[in-house]
Amino acid sequence: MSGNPRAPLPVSLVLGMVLCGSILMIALTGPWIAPYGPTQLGTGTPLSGASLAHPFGVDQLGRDVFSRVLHGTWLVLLLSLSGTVLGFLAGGILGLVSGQRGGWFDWLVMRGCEVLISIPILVTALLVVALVDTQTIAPLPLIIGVIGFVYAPRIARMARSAAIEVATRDYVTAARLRGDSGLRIAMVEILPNVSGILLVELALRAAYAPVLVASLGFLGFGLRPPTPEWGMIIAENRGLIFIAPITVLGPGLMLATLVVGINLLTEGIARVIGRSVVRTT
Amino acid sequence: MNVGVEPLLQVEGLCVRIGPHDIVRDIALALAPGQVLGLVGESGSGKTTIALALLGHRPEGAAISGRVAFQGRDIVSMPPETLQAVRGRRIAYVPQNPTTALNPARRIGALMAEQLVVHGLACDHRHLSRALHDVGLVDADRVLTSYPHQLSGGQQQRVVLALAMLCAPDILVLDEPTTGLDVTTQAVVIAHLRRLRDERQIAMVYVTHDLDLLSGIATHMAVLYAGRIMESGPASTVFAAPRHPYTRALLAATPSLRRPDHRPQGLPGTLRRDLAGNGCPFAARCPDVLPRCATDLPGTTVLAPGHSAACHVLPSTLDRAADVSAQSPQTAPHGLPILTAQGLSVTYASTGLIRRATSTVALTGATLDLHPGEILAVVGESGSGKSTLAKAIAGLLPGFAGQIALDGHPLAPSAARRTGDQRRKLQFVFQNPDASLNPRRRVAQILTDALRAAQPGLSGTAHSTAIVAALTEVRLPESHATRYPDQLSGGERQRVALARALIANPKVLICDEVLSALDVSVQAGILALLEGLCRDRNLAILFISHDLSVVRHLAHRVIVLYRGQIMAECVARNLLDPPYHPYVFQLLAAAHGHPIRQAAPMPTGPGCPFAPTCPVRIDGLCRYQPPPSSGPLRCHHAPQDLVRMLSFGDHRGENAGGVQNR
Repeated sequence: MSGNPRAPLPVSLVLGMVLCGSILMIALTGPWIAPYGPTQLGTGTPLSGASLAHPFGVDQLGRDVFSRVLHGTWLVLLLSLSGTVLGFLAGGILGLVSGQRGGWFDWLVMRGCEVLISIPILVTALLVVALVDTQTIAPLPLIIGVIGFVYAPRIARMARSAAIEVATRDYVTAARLRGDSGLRIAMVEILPNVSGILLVELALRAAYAPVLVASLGFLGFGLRPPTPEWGMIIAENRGLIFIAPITVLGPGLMLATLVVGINLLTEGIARVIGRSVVRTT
Repeated sequence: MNVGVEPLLQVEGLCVRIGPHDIVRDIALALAPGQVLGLVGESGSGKTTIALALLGHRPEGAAISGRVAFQGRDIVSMPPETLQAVRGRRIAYVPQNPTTALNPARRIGALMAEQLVVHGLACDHRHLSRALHDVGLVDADRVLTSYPHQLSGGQQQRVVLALAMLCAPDILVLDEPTTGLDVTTQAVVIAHLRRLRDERQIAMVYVTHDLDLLSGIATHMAVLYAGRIMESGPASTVFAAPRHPYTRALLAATPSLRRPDHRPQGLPGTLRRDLAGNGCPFAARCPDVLPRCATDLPGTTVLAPGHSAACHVLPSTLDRAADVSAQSPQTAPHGLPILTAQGLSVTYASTGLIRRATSTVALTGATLDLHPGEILAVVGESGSGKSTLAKAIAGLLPGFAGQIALDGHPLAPSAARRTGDQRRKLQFVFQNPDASLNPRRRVAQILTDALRAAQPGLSGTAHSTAIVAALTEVRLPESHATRYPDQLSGGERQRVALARALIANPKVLICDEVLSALDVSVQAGILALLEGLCRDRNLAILFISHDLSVVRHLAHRVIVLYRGQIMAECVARNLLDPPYHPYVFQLLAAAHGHPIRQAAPMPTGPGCPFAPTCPVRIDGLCRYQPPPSSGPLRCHHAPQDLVRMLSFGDHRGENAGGVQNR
């Protein structure tokens, strides 16, 4: 089992940890290290490009884009991660129970999931936002809920297929014979044996979530201005792409860094898990 | 080995190491044409590693040293191209599992042609069909155009054998070639191998854990333990007068239909390579161990020409413990049965959109009763419906017809609809402990789950006492409670599975082939445990098995199933005495290595399911009318007629095909 405990960590894992770690540091310290406030006007000449004082330039209203990006980092992380976790919990439990129960319940859940999956992610998200009364639900929980709703059926299918395989093992049959409930079987007998697969799925979904958050913001279905959410910053400055391209490229670059970082981290984790799986069998 | 015969294959000082571990060490073997070398040992003894080394196969990361000389040329140091010309062409390999050995996407004919083309031999249809004929596959044309999954397990194994024989090799290396097969099919394959050995002088290395099987084919034996040869010599000597304590223990542990009075005895402990140290690897489990065994590695002592053993003690043949002979269990307990099943029938239906819906009858009208303190065995080959019967009673197959009653109260067909108390009283032990214990839960957690379901609301101290008591009852140390299943040996795992069932304080225990995943050396220990439980706890045990010889010693009564129907139901110790049921007779004949003359196959009718292959069937009756459904033997023949027709009299074998009357 402990074939080679000193095996070097995969490059992707190290690189992913560095990238994600830096973004996390920015998220935690951003509001304090930012030179200006997120909505502070007149920080420099409007529409000016990159400079030492304004690395990402200054927008039409004279706000420092770099400071806005720094201030918005924790928001992007919070939205995408909690949305992913919500979808993971809902979809994971649904998929595990569905896979272990089978029968009409499984059929119903899976057809429902397929209907939702067949609609493009953004369309689903926009539908939800449009249908929900935005007066009663604050935009922050709404976006988290939307991401969870979009992800849940996808994760449910994954969890179900993993659960189906484990559900045929004799120890699950033994639990059935002693009369354990479906939820208990799913959580106690099945979940620990599919946790590796689910963890990779979680990380994969988490990698795409910031793009989804930013897309919603870009399309104006997310938070309200002047919140410094990255997608919204890109949307505000998209008219400046030829005048001061850095105002769009800056936040875009940050988004790309985050997504690439999480992807590398995921791949690294999958490799480490894969290696340990090989070791134990 | 044999003086005067030039060895075809000579192995000297073969070592295979992976990392710091020696998988096998100092292996010396020799093989001459027409010899069959049986390589026997428990799992983990290194027998497959040796078999593969004979083909020049190097496991990943392994270092091979020593010499494997085939006709004087060393295979270990051979360059890959030369090796390829030897491998498959001169030395052929028959793998264990034919289902995974045959490419499922290609027809048998294509697979066989490939074998010839790869070795640059001409390939024509006649050659291929003759090769199939040789292994007893008569309808060669159908087989050649079939895909592997369209053949039965026995046919697949014979195809694999035909593939190996296609290039007319000098040596066959067989790795457990009959392990997955039924007794009757096994006998056919062995008979064919014997013919190859005698008629074509093909040398074979036969790797197996089954000593009983080897006695029917091997001319020479090498007994392996922890990667070392413990004893080697002519098969007749090793079987009749084994000198090494391990060989004796292994023989004593092996149940055998040839020696129906022999009661299998277990070895203590399990094979642990890490404990070997510098001494004899078997020292920890050896009954004759001396102090120096733990520190000095015994050298090989030549006992007779060709017969040698590696042991400091070498107990003489005379003080060999006498077989603890047939003390079959007492007569079955009487009184009210705890469990009854009436007319159980199970049909598996498969519905499909494209394919027609088909249904398979797995069990027809099975009736049984089980008393407290009784072990009732259900035996049969694969597909006989014995597991179906167990699962139906356990409540895992809700869609059956018939009645099951526990303690006089009818049971719901599905376990989910039974009461908690009914579920507690009826416990199930699965075939393979690897699959029946959750790998992510510690032993204590596994037992807790079972205890919680059986006795909700137990106090903390009573709870831990119960867990310790359950572990003690299956003879496991308390310290095992914190282990994960993969930190236990196979036998220990099966004990945990038993403890999980016992902690619920059941009245009935259903054991579904609980021995088949275990090494022979630990099987006897589990058997003794079951016997003790039955006696001390007055537990009723339904013991599902394919092994007639095990059943004869363990059970009070036996039910023999064939294709879903009960063929015989009798007191266990009468099972292997005349009058035999024709089916039991055929199984016995197979075990004794008698040629089985199966009647020409014909479709089953509404009558006896065994009629199509029965050696003594009454034409016009057996196929159309079901046999009597009471009495010990469910056969149209009267018992006294069966005594006359089916016997292993003086001329054993000749009448194994039975007397065809009418």
